[in-house]
Formats: sequence, structure tokens, C-alpha cells
Amino acid sequence: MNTINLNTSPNSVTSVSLCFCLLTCVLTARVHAQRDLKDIPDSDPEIERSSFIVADGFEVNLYASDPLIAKPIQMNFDADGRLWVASSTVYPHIMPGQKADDKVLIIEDKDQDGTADTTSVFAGGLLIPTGVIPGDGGAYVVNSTEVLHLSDTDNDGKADRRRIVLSGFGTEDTHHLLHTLRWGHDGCLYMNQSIYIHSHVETPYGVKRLNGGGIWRFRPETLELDVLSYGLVNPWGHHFDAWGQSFATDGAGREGINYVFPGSVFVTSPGAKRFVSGLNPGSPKHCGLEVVSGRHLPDDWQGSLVANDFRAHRVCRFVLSEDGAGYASRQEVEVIKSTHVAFRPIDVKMGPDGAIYIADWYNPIIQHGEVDFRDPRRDHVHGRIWRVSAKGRPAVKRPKLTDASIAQLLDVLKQPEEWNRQHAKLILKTRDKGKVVAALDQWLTKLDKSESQYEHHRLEALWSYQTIGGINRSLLQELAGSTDHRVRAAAVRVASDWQEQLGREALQYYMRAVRDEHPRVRLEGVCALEKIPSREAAKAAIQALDRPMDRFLDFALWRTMRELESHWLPAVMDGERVFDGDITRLTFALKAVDSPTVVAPLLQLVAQGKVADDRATNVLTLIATLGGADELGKVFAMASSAESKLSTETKATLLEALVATTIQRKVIPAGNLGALKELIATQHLRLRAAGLRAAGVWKQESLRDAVSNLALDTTANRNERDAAIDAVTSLGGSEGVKTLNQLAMLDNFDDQLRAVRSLSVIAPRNAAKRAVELLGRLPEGIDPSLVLTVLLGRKNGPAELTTALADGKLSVDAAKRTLRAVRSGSQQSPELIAAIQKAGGLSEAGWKLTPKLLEELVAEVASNGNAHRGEAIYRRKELQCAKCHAIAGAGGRVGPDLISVGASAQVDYLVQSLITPNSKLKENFHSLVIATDDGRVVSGIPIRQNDTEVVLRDAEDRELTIPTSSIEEKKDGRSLMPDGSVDQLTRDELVDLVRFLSEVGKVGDFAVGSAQVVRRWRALTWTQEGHHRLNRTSYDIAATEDPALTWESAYSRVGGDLPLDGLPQLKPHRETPQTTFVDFDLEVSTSGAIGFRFNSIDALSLWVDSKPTPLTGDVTLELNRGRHRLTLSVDRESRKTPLRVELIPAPGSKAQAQLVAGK
Amino acid sequence: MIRALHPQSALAAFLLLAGTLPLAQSAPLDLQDGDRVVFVGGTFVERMQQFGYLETLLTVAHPDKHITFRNLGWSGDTVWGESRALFGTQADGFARLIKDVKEAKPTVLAICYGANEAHAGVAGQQRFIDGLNQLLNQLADTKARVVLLSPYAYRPGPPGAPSPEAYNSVLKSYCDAISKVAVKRNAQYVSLFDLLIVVEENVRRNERPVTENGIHFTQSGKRLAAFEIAKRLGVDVPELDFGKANEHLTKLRAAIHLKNELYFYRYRPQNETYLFLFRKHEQGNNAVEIPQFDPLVEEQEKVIAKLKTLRR
Repeated sequence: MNTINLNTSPNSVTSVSLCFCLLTCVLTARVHAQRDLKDIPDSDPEIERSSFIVADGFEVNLYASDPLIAKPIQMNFDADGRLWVASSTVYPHIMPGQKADDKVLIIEDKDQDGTADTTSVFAGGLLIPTGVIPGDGGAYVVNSTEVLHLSDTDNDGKADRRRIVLSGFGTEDTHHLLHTLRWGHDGCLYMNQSIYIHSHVETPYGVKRLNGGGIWRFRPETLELDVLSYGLVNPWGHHFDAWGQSFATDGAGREGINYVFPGSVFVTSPGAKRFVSGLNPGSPKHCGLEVVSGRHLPDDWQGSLVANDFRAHRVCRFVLSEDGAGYASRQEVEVIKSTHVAFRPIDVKMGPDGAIYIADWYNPIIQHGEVDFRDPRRDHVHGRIWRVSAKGRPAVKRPKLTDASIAQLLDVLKQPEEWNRQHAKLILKTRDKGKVVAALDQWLTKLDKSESQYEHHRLEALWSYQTIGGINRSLLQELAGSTDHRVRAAAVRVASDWQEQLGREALQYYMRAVRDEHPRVRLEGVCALEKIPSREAAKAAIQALDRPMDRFLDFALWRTMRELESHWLPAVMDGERVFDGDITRLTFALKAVDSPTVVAPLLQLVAQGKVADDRATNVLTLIATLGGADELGKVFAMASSAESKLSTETKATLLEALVATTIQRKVIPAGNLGALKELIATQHLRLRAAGLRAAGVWKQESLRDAVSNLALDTTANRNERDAAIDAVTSLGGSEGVKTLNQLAMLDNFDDQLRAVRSLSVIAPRNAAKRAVELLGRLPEGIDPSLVLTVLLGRKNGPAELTTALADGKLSVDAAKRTLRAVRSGSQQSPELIAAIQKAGGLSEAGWKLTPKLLEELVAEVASNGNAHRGEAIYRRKELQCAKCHAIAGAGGRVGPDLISVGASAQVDYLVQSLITPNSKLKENFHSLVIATDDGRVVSGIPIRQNDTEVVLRDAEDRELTIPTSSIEEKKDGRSLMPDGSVDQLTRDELVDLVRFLSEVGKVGDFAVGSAQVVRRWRALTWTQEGHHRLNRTSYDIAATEDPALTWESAYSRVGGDLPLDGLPQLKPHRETPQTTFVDFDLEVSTSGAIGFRFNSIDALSLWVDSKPTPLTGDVTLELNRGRHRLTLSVDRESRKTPLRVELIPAPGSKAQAQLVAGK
Repeated sequence: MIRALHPQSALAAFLLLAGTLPLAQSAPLDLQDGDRVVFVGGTFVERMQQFGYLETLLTVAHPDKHITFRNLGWSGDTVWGESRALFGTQADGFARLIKDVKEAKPTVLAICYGANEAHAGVAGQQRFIDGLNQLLNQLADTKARVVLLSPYAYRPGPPGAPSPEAYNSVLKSYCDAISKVAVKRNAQYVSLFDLLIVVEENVRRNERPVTENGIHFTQSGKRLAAFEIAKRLGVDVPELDFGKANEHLTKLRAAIHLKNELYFYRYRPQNETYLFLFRKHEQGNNAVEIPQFDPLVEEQEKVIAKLKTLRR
């Protein structure tokens, strides 16, 4: 790939490498009404069942089916083994004149043979009930805005009593309504809501509000309603492991299993500044979650997590292992996979017989955003419940719980089935509390200490006290000192729930937890302290820093320090000694607050010389980012002082931060800036460049001549000149325009290009004229985007360009490529597009999608399309699909990950997505167009929005931070995928490409398996400089971060291997063979041995973290926590086999690692 | 549900707290033919939609007049329209509140706010009153007669819930402030401060509790409260038995419930994100269905009118 490093990106102090081709291929994956009616399958359950590929040793039988079970949404068993199902035929939206008559059904398997015998209607008259769970003598049912409790008082099997338990839940999207009702090990009812929901619930404790996704925790007895965690797009699955830890899945996120702890915040939570990420990045989306257990299942399935990939018709299994305070998750072979397009597993529950039950929503069409509410092909009548059982293993005998004695119920707490234990605890709730407490006390004394599950039995007892609203201080104390860290962690969580009753004692538990040897116990301690509003709590929490931190702990501590800010920050401001005067603690806390208030105390610490040198850069950068004019002035004084002991690199970093602050927040350092004059003459290039940019943004007129001269001095260093050109642009005025025009007259393309880009900011009309002229004689291989992006991102840019083009002429090729650039821009202008077409004499360009063409293409995809050829087209550099789309995490993040696109999207939909990308858009890929007060217009997908800033991901996959204060206008934008992306393809090629996309994620060659295969690589590109460097040194240099080397991204095929064809080759010496260098990164979260399996080691050499490492077969490496890089050289003259590297578990190793994905 | 205080002693305590209970300070609600009564408030108002007792009482109390009702109650709402903001800011929520009220074309505006605002304590009172005034100012051009219904004191909730005592004493102060706004604006003020306690008092004979959480009315609570509210509004309500045996009244109340449901689909439709907001490019075409609920609401109002006149 041709890459130009262009430092003159006006209004940016960092160098941006702009790709030669901005043609993006942002495919909007989604589902759509299918026009190909042949795709609607026969609804015979047996046909569906025979399509299932079931995990070895398992079988699937039909438990219950339509007609009564229409569109099951959630299911839960009661203690008698009856299955309660919420079903909706009204979904997605009530029609005028339609009666809301959705139902709660009860399914019974009376003879316990694994198939249902009766299905009855418990309640009707509901509006899209998205959750049902039996309990408290009836069932809790979500009825759009409210949580109802329905009960049957006359025992006729029908609800006759209706109580509104909670109300005020949002309905902005009917597949986001309150859902996933779940009883906790603690006797609380957990409920989830999705991204578009805004809830406002009046309780005796005040009004509880939750905007966006999250998990509610509700105790029906006391009506306490709180939020366990925030965010996730569609948290349609939530369950606890045997130790009370929460896990959640996301029906629109792409990180598989998420580890949920109190106060954790996940993607898309409104106003959040930071998110916790999931355990399986690059996963498809999931619905439902069950941690499976019990005697019916084989040993290696105990504690597995089962979740549904409803898009790709799969029921998946994950295995967790410990990883610091959190967990690592690995995908196992699927429980079920199918090619049946209507198999939509959406809920999963363990049953009373120890088998796994799957609710199948049965629909060829999923979701309702992108598919017309009234599409006639929506299925409203079918639905199935499947039962997955282990062949040859006996079913668990259904426990008789309802009428069991208290003593019998307590003994159930020892059983391996979570199902049994959970129901036993819930029944204890209904019994006389005094008697239960007495029995529990007694039961505890009789437990056999030598039993392997002794600690777990005691934990169940602790939860039983919690469930019935009791307390047992001595048991809590004992368990908080358990030898098992999982029990200690659970005890801290219980202590947090009992905080009020424990009084001062509670704090002792949390303080002790923070000093625990196991990180998860420390995490629980830090989370519990967040709820104690005192300085003491903050002081206790921050001690977590004394022991190793990890990403979960770091998040929890960050959040706790922010939540407790008002209890410790004022003391810092008053100059008090806090956190025992420990600077590490103090700087962590101050940085967590991330607000201008912390600047003064930080500055003081620096002034007192208390900040260690290795932290100074960090702290000062924070001050430079957050401070006001005075503080910025002080940082500048330090950065510019000759006496300062700061290194030159640090000084440069600070100066760059100051410049960025001025651009972002328009604050200029106060005080004497005269030292700039020396800075722009210093020997150090980076410092000099930063000084030059500072001279510009701080409007130092006295330095204008020096800056202008340098900008025009073709003998000077490019980076330095780029900084000077930026400075000229920032200084602006007629003088600035004059200088830039002089620059444009220089006899080289690089300077002319920079002149146009800079003029775009201060003299757009002038820039537009020059741009048109430049486009007419663009050198080979240079993309017009380079010339136009800045101009197109200015408010009046497109209009000026249209005017300038009026009399201009462009070659057909230039016009085509200019069109592409314009379509990728942040502002869409039909006038401009017309002007370009006219200037280039273009006729109707590209594909015109008519219903007839669509029909033909759909047919051709089925008859002639070749997915393997299609994959090759997808991988073509000029299409740049992977620049914006990942497959299984490897690739850009601008558009949706395509991991299961074929399984969820219909062919006609894919065709439309490619040809008219804006017709419909995937959830979470809606762009925003923002006009700023400095005349820019930027567009991108919002990643985070809070009261101070909006962070967008632009079409270049960059994160742009826009301060709220600089936003003049904000509106919804179009797809970031430009129209015309596939215009260059022939009809056959388009058909192949669609065929490929339609296969991705389906059972077959293009399914992403559970193996951890390296998918995202970097390949060393040939550049003169790089070649030279290799020639002068050795191959070892390729395994270092040498600035002379240029790398490009490369991605494995969906199947997992990296074809060598097309990868860049280097031949540093005449006698050496053509060689390709590739590398990949992995992030190790728990140190230890990690295995790597190679499909073949022929002609490969390996470096690990720059060190040459022998390669004799599969390798096992001892790797410490942190990021590691493996570099490979491939002798291309002897190797033709593609490259495939897989992470494999090393026997007995506790190590955890994740391959680094992304662009 | 366990009660910390017997209702009677609670009532005594309230009277002590309240001094003399303020009575309606202006002319009784004199509903005219053609009146459109619009209710706004939080959960208390919102749940009137499905129980419909007050609306039924006000309907049968005026058999010769055509009076229609629109209920815009929204759980957790405040004078600032906090619950109506959806994806927007509080200002957007307020704008939505104003817009929805205006589109309902009120001639009588019954406003019941303050319950949720009072959690902010005495310190929040002035802000609340400012908000209430702003709301009334914004709605002045509807020319609707304004009825300010005060919020009501809470009863003890389930064990573990905070005692409502402190909240109630704050609420009393809010109520007094609302009554002053009413005087200044020449609006009708109806004190409901002791509503829950009085209703609980009346239910002694009955098995069913009037509240299960101490802050909201159950169905039977709503029924008893409706009589009390109507009385305090100054409406002459006939003795009515809402029992199942009274088929006619049951039908009328069901018709009112259905009308409210249809109106709810109209004014607060599900899937707003797709129909009207940032994903309207996907389902905006189906937004045409939403106004189709208008004729259904009107049709249902005809059913109500028929049932009402056939009453005696």
C-alpha cells in the first residue's frame, strides 16, 4: 500500500497517516425481509430438529411446540418443574385496532418423560411481555412499562389477581423492554434493560432512574431497587456461577461473556467515561445465558456457560477460568448448530431433570429495527422448546420441593444442581422465618468439615440467611476468613448487602478484603467501599494499589475514587495529608477524578518535588490537559525552562499536550510565552516542532516571520516544516494566506498538497480552486481524499468546491476517484456530486438497484456465486472492506463485525447493503454529524457521550474527541459506508462477494470456530528506508519497533489461515531469499506457559519480544503479564503453504492470554 | 403488609403535623359541556389510566355533559418533565411535556406534581415551585382552567424501607407552597395531603389493603381514593357500587380503560426510536399508524358516552 506520512493535518498536532485509498466498504450488516420466498422453511419441528448438529454425547428432543407456544421470549421453571413462558404475537408493535392479548403460558411434563404433556394459558391481555419468572405465589411478568405480579387464588390455573409491583420502565424499543428476569442466589430478583430504555421508577426509597442498558437488582420483600451494573447494548443473558459471581451476554455487543461486578460499566452506558470490556472480544452476539451444573451433565460441562448465537443458529458453550480479579473465557464446541434459517435459540435454562432447555423463537426474520414492522413474512405463530440431554446419562430425579420440610430443603443446598439449590432457597423464603433460622443454625453445626464441598455448603447457608431477610454475623465472619477465595469474595458481597445491620463492623470487612491475597476479594472490597460515603472508605479502597492491579480492579478502584470524590478531594484541596501522604495513591485518585479541580493539588505535588520522575510526565500531561490558563502557564514554564530537570522528550510531550489543550478547549497558557523563541530554535526536533505549533495556536505574531520562512524552506526537515505550515495556518490572516499561496507555488506535489489542505481552513475558496487544479494532475497512486478531506470537513467546503468545479475539467478516472472521496466525507452534497460528474463527463455511475436487478442478483448468488472467490474479492486491497469491518475481531471497527453476517442477513439485504449502504443501518452504527465552532464538520459513530465531550469513531477508525462546549450543531448522519463502494466490481464479482458474505458464520467453510487462531497480523512493507535498514542490520531488526520500518495490517481468511500471496516481500541482500515478515500481538493477563501451534514450521523463523527463538514444532512460551509480540520471517522462495498459528492451552498452565484484535 | 402505625393514630399524627388541613381554596371544579380534562403527574396519575375510577365518577356525575379525559401521567415524572426526556436532556423532557399537554387540547388541566420532587428535601422546594410556575406559564396559552392537586403523604413501606415521617413533613411544606401558587394564579387547589391515610381509614371493614408499598394505591385503594378526590374537587358524586354485580358500571369502566389504553398507544407509542427518533429512516413509514389510533379513541369515547347516558 502506498502510504504518505503527512504531518500537515491542520488542527492536529499528531502525525496522521492517511491511506492512499479512502474507499471504504462499511457494510451494514442487518437482517431484512427476504424476497426469496423459497427461504421460508417448512415449519415441521422434525425437519428443524434433523438440521441440528449436536455436541458429541448429546441429543436433542422436542419438549414443546406451537400452536400454543407462539414466539416464546423468556422461560423459567417453577419449583414443581412447570415451565413458564412469556410469548408475544403482538411484537414488534401493536397495530391500530389490534387487541393486546399476549400470554403467559405454563407447560407441564406430568409424566416426567422429557416431553411436555400440557400447555395452558395462565394469563392473557398482555402487551409484549418480555419476561416471566415464577415466584412469591404466582409469577412476575414484565408488561412493557410495568412489572406485574400475577397469581391464581382459586386454583383454576388462571391468573385472577394482578398487582403492579413496579412501573415506569421505558418502551422506546420493544426488543429492549425490561427482560431477563432471574432469581439470584441472594433471593433478589434481577432484571435487565437494554440500550434505548429510559426508566423512572417510584419506590419507597425514592425515584430510581436508569438510562440505557443495565442490570437491576430488586428485593420484593423490601422493595429495594438498585442497579448492579450499567451498560451493554442488549444484555439478554445474566446468570451466576456457583459462587455468586455474575456474567452477562449481549445481543448486540461483540465481546461474548461479560464479567459483571457491582458498579461495573459496559459499552454504551450513557454519560460513562470508561467501560469494562468483555471476555471474548470478536465474538458474535448472544442471547440468554445459563451456567450449567448437575449430575446429568458430564464433569467437563460443570460450570460451563451456555449462550445462544441466535443470528447464526447456534447454541454455544464457554468455559471460564480464573484470571486475576476476573475471568478468562474460552469457547468450546457448540451445543447445537444448525443451518435451519428459522432456528432462533433465544433463551436457555437448566430444567428440573438436569437437562438443558432451549427456547426457540422460530423466525426466519429477527429483530424489528431494520425489517418492516408489518413485513408479511414475519412469523407470529411458531415457537419451540428443545431439550438437550446427555446420551446414556440418567436424568436427575425431579426434587419434591414445594411440600418439603425445612430440614429437607436445607439438605437440597448440598446438591450439585444449582436449579435445586436455587428453588430450595426461594421456598425457604415462604416458610416461617424463625423456624428457618433455627433450622439453619442447627444445620450448620452438623455439617461435615472434612467434606470437599464444606465451604460451599456454608456459603449456601449464608445466602439462605440473606434470602430470607435474616443475618448471621458469626457465619459471615467465618466465611470472610475462608481458605477459599471464592467464598471470601462472596462473603464480602453479602457484607455489603448487610452494611446497614453491620454498622461499623461492615467497614472492617471491606478493609480486610482490600488487603486480601486474592485479587477478586480485593475487587469485592473496593466495590463495597464505593457505597460507604466517607473519607475512611476512600482511604481503605486506595490501598488496593499496594498489590498487583489488573483491568477489573483498576476499573473498580477508579470508579470508587470517583464516587467518593466529595469525601477526600476537598481535604486534598485544603492541603491536608490524605492517603498517608502516599503519592502513588494520591496521583491515582486525582487522575481518576479527571476534572479541573485536581489540577491545583497535582501541580503543588510537582512543585514540591514529590512526584517521582517516572510519573512526572504522566502527571504534568494531565495538568496540561485539564488545567486553566494559569496552570497551563506553569506547565509551560517547566517545559521551557533550561534549568528544569525534565528530559527533552518530556518537555516535548508537555508542549504537545498544551497545544492539544489549546485546540480542544481554546485555553492559552497565561504568563510570559517569550521562551517559545528559544524553543523553536532548539536542537531537539520534536520539541522544536511542538514549539512551532505552539507559536501558531498561541498566536505569537512576533514569531510569524521565523515560522513563515521555515514553512517555505525546502531544505529543512519535513516534520519541522509541517509544524511550521500548521503554525502559519493557525496564525492565519492575509499574511498566512499569502505564505500558503507561496507554498502552493513551490515546484513539488507534497508542498502543493499541504498548501491546499491548510488553505482549506483559512481560505476555502482559494483552496477549492487550487484543489480542482491539483486533482487534474494528481500523481499516480495518490488518492484525491488527501487533497479534499480537510476542505470537505469545513462548513462551506462542499459549496466552494462545487463552485470551483463549475468551469473545471477532470479526467474520467480522476472524477471517479474524486466521487469516492466525496462520498466518504462528512458532508453529503448532491450538488457537488453532480458537479464532479459533469466535470468528468461521467454518465450514471455504478450500480442502480432496481427490484428486477435485485431479484436477478439474488438468483445468481444462489446459482453461480462462489464464496471462495468472493472471499478473495473481500480481501482485495482496493475494496478496503477490512479497513472498516472485522471478522471475528480482526479488522476495523467502523462498521459491524461480520462474524455472523451470513447467518443473520438475507441475500437481498446484503446486496442492498453493498449498493445503497444508507438504506438501513445496524444498531449502534448510526453516525452523528457535528459542526464545531471552529468551522469543522465531522462525522462518526458515537462511542461515548457525556456532559463534557463526545467521542466519535470516524471512517478512518480514529477516535475523535469533541468538547461539548465547541459543538454548534449535532445531527444524525448517514452510514459511514460510502455509496458506490462496489461500483468497480463486475456483476460476477459482486455475485461472488455477496455469496461469500452470505456464507460467513453459517455452518460450513466460513464459520468462525472456537479455536483461538491468529487473525490479525502486521506485515512489513517494502519501503526504501526499511529496505535500507534491513540491509544494514540483520533480520532481528524486523522484530523491533524500528521507526524506519513501515507495517501494514493483514488478516487471516475466515477459515483461519493467512495466505502468503499478496503479502509484501523484501530481499535485503542479493543472496538472501525473498522474505516476508509478519507479526502479531497477544495480551497476557495471567502469567504462565502458553502454547502456539503452527500448521507447518517450514521456512519460518521466530522472534518473541525481539528475541530470536528456536522453532522446532509447536512451541510453549513462558510469558509474563502484559503485551507480547511474536514476529515471523517466511522464506517465500521455499514456502507456499499459508500460515496458521493457533493458541493452545499448555498442560497445567494457569496462563491466560488474548490475541490482540482490531484494525 | 406490616404497618408501623395504625391508620387512626397516623391520622392523628398527621393532623398534628398539618395543623389545619387546607380546604379547597377556590370554587369547586365546575365541569362544562365539551370540557377536555387533561391529567399530568407521576405514577399516581399514570395508574388512573387502568383503574379509571375517578374518570368514571366524573363521567357519571355529569350525565348531560360531554366531557372527555386525557391522562398524561408518567411514572417518576416531575414538573421538569424528567421522565419524558427519553434520549434527550431535561429540557427535552419538559418540551415533550408541554407539547403533549397542548396536543391534548385541555380546557381543564389537573396537575399533580411534587411527590417525586420532595425527595430533594426542603432545600429543593424553591426549585420545585419555580418549575411549577414555569410549567404553568408555558401552558398559560391553553387558557385551560387549572386544578392543582397536591401530592399525598406516604405510609410506612415494607420493613427495611425508610420511615416516611421525614419525607411527609417535607411534603407538607411543598403542599403549602403549591397552595400559595394556586392562590396567586387563581387556580383551584385540592389538598390530597392526607388522601392515603384517609382512604386507609375508610378501608377498615375491607380485607384488601389500599397500599402495598406505602406510596402507591392498590386497585381498591384507587377506588376509595377516587370518591375522596371527587368530593374534594367539589363534584357531587352519586353513591356507586363498583362491585362486579354492577355490570353496567363495570362495562363503563372497562370502556374508559380501553380508551385510555388506545390513547396511550397514541401519545406514548412503543418503538419511538424507530417511529420518530434517530432510527426513523428504518420504520418511520409505520409512523402513519400512530394517528390511526385517534379515530379509535373517539369511537371509544362514543361508547363511553352511550354507557354514561344509559346509566339510570
